[in-house]
Amino acid sequence: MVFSSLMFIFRFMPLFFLCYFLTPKPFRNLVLFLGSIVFYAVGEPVYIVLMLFTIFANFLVCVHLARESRARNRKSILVFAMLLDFGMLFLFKYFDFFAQNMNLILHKEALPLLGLTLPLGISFYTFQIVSYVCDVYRGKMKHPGSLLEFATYVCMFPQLIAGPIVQYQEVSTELAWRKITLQEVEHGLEVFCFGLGAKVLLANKVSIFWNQVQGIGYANLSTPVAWMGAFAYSFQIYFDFWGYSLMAIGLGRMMGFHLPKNFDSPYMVKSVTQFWRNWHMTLGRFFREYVYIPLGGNRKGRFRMMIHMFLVWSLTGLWHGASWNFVLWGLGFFVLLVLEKFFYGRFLERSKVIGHLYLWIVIPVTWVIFAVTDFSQLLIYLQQLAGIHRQPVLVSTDQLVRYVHEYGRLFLICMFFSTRLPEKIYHRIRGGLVVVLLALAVFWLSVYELANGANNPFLYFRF
Amino acid sequence: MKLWKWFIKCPILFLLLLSWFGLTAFTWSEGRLPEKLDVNLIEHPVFTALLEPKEPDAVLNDLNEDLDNNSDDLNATDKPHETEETVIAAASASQNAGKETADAKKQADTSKKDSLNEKEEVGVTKFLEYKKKKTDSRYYADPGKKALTTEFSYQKVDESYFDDAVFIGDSRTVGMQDYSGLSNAQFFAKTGMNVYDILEDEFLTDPKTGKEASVAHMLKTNKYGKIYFMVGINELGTGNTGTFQKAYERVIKKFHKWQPDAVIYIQGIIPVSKKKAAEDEIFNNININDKNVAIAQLADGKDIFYLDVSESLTDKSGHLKADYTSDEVHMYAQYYKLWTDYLMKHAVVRK
Repeated sequence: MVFSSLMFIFRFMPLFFLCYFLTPKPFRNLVLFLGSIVFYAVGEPVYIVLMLFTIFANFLVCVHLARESRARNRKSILVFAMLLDFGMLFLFKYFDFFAQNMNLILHKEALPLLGLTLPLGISFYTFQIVSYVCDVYRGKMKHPGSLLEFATYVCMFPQLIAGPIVQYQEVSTELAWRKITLQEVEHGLEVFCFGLGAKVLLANKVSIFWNQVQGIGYANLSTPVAWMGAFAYSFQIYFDFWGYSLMAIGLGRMMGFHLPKNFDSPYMVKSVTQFWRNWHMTLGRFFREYVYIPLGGNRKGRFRMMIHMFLVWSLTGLWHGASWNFVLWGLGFFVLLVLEKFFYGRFLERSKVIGHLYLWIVIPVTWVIFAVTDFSQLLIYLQQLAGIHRQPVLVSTDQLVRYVHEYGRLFLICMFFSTRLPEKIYHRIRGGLVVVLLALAVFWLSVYELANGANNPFLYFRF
Repeated sequence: MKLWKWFIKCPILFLLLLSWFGLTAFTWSEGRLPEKLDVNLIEHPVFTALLEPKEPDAVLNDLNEDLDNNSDDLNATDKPHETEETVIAAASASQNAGKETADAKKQADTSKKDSLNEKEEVGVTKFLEYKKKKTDSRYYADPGKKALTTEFSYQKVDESYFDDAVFIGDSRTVGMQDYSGLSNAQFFAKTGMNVYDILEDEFLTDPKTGKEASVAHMLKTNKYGKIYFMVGINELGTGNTGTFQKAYERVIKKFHKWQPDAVIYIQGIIPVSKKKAAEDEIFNNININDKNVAIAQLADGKDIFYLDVSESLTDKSGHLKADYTSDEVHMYAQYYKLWTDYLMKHAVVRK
């Protein structure tokens, strides 16, 4: 089930919250857990068993970790847990990718392709479980919660399918006791409405243009249209993911949880380094705290730091998808980050305009690498961006003018919402009538679009 | 605490709750929906019902009236069904299970007669039979045959042939407009266009007055030598093949009425890819073929011809070639040339 679907908004949400608020407080975690199971099972009736099994196994591991005090044993228990968790992820998400490449290298069909479907949300919940186990190992949590609390933490439907990747400490107090006021519920609903709008009114709409560009065939694009396509995809993926994260935060708020922020106007920063501190912040945090810093971070010399960064960014790319273009995407950021760190990073930060222009050119190009899975097609698209046309350009100026006419206004609206202005305005007028009317207008407009449109992709869904 | 105070505290919550309750109550009580939308109620609340102006099949009732009203003045300018018709190769004239209209049935049974002028050639639209597949859709049935391009002594022409041509249709024709390279032709095309709205929808701009115009207006006030028509992909899930054919016939008759000297080309609906056909209950190639067979029967071989333009776009099993498309329905820009080539090889040239 996707948040931006009529099924969720008109059936699951009201019924769930009705049950939730009618339940006496001590049993609300159970209701949340069961509701989340229902939520997951509707989208993934088979692999739910896998998720439950993973939760249970990891909980046992944590119980042992909490009891065990000998360092060597603790380490082996941790290793076992990591193998289990990442093994599952590898099996379901990366095995076929691995097998294809092995077969290519060995020039024979050594490994069979399993053709397993990717369980919903496995990339997200695996990382959450891993962060929990690591925190228990490191002793960050003296008393890890009960099985129900752990299970609720992992399965909580607001963040189950597509994040934010929550750390246990962020919700541990709230799992034990949370304060619900009508104001909080109201605020949560507000945030949910705006997230829904971002997804349905912005992301879905701009994706129509990107689909059109794909439909032309990359070989025959003109350079302006290619750039428009890159910008369109950049907007699409941003509002899609940010909208979803906002909806998650809003839903959590309605139950008394304060889920972490995942996006902070990432398109308004001046360097790629800053970009990754504002884009998918919880993922960056995970890789920093559980991969980069344990490896040594930047405290073991320049060369080691570069190795660490290389690893982190290859893994970040690979996490997004089992395909080489994602690895290329991640490594592209590695190169940029190293260059910024050693050469022009500070210059960018201190610049007034150049930093922004740099970002607005570089980031759409990286999104193209992310979007186009096939390498030969990707090369063609990058050539189109650079103005190199190998095939005849079949997109006329008339067509370009038509596209600008049709989508110009949408692009302007997307640009406006990428700035910090909306947030600033929101904080000024919060609690007033205008916000209420806006939220309701956005909500009903979104529902109208959902009822009419068939187009509702969620890019991070098969994750 | 008083209820209105609660409302002030959290207006969004209350308003949404109330509207949800109201919508759900309306949905269950009204009972309008289940027969019209055979989708699960749980997925589509009353919204789609609330916002649709009429029931979709109501549009077709209007058409029936129109067709009856127009049959009188059409007799004056058109040749009625009984004298001009197409011959169907299959002797047994197999029919769609209850979906063909009475008119089409007549066409299947009567034989070809010579046209008024013996020297004037009359094209024959033949059909290729195959084994029918069982279908259980209320939108279509497997016709058991495929329509072939009207047999005629077509000429090969170049782009100048299209100087006085107009292309009318949906998003595929928009693709023609963008990528065919025929900058001399006129295009009355719009994404989402369908046979019920094509004549009256004012989506064009009349270059003479600068005002909004419909296809009907443009055809009445200008002269064209050729009309290329392709619609159908958007109507696959509305009504059934019989209603589609009726509406299509009405449109063709109007075309002929307003442009009596023009050659009218009925272009067969381009199929969708194998992937789409396999997974979609409505947008599949049996449905498309059913519609094509129905509209091919409207070709008279004198002014109205049926062209199967997808010949070079489809694979052996009649699906749109998979690597010709990215969204399973529309071709990449570079393949519209194949469509243009087909048209240039199948042109009716009048002395």
